[in-house]
Amino acid sequence: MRMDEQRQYIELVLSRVRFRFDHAKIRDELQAHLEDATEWYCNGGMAPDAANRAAIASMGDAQEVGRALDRVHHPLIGWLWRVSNWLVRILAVCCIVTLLTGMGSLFSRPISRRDRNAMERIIPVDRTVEMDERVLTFDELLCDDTGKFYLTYHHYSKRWLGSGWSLGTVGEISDGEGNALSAISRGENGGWICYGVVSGDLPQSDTLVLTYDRFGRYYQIVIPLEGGGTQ
Amino acid sequence: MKRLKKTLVNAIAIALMGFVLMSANGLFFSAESAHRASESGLHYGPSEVVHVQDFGGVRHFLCRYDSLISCDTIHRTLGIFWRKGNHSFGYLFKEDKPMDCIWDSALDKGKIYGKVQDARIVRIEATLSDGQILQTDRFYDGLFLLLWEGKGVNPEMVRAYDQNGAVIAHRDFP
Amino acid sequence: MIGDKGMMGGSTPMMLLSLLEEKERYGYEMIRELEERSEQAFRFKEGTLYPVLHRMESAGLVEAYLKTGETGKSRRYYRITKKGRAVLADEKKQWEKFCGSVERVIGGAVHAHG
Repeated sequence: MRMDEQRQYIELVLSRVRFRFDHAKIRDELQAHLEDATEWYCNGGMAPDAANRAAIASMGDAQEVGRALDRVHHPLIGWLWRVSNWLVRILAVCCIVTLLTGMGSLFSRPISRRDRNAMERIIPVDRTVEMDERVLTFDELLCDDTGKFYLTYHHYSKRWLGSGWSLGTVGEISDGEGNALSAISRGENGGWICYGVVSGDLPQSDTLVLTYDRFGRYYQIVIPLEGGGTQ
Repeated sequence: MKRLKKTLVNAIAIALMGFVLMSANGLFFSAESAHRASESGLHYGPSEVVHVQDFGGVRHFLCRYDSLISCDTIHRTLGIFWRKGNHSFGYLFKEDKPMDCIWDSALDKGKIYGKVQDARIVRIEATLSDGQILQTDRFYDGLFLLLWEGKGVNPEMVRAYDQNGAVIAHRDFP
Repeated sequence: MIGDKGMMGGSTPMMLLSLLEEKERYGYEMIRELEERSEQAFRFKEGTLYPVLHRMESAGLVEAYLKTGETGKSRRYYRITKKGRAVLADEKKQWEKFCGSVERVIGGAVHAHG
């Protein structure tokens, strides 16, 4: 009987507080207050039922208290706060995933360290070209003992955090005399720094030429095939 | 006040993370930026946009770069963002034909675009494999664009008509 | 002056902060303390205390935490913050100024009449 009246009072107060997520805290606080008040009246000599009613009476009008609390626990700010908290959590997870996958590309190489060390010849190239937002660097020309060459390169985008979209071809391979050679391009896409390799059969000539001439963009890399030792 | 401050701090964090995620995933607020970014990402262009057309939540940019014609299709993602497109590359249409065109499709949407060189042509009509007939009499600097919706549908023939209804040129797609 | 207009009067937050400056307290404790010290002069609807406390918490003047007493009862305690102390000092100064002005007005009348 006693608890019911107090509970009724509190629920009446809460009925005016629109932001439901704060109800539990307010309910607990008001309940503790009413219990303390009832105890105080009882210690003063009142009968339990009378003390109970006196405690409720001294609280004041439930609706007024509720309305005042509602002004402090404003639903608009409350909801914005809750939604923004969730958004931050979700976006943080997405960011971590994106950054990790972006970083993953840093560790994948088309030619493993071991394979590189097993090459017959390694000719350093170290030429960098810039095309639109891309910075493309040709690293080395590797030659194995079966007459194949591997031209390694890497590129990144100058756009802030831009991930490499499909690079497609890095150019046409030809020998020093202008004869085109067939070559296969293989690279990783996406991520911050992408690594790729162009491979084909080594020509007899003394230079290997890589030419890119598309849609108004042009570069040419001439690689002398002499020199270059093993590791 | 405490909650308000926390909400504002959250808002700043959301804006920063949003920027990071958009940059890293090729998302843009405007279709035009997405189009420009996808062209420069593929080292093409910058092309001159001749006509823009929306169709079924997707925006097409009919462009000219030198003598290449492209129709870059930019898709909406997550409601408010535009994603880098595919089909940014241009195609060289034959100069000696009164009308030349190509078609492409992705998912359930397709497009036919081309160039007319003959001043007599006033109308283009395309017949699709599901029986749909598309037509247009609008030309943008000599270029035209036809769009359709339908899974697995492809064009069978395209006809160019003069004002008397005579066929000036046609292109069949076997 | 801070205050929940129309509820308890503008000086109530100042009195609550003052109580909390001495010691960390919970809601009912503050009600009883206010009544005792003011010698029953301040008696008001007890429920109206909480909107004021919550507003002060939202403004960063006080902090709330849960503490379990010896009887096992868990209550919401409030403690004053650095910002709360600063605001209290400011409010006290303004109150003293106000009181001083009132006294001078009243005192002035006494002077005038002899």
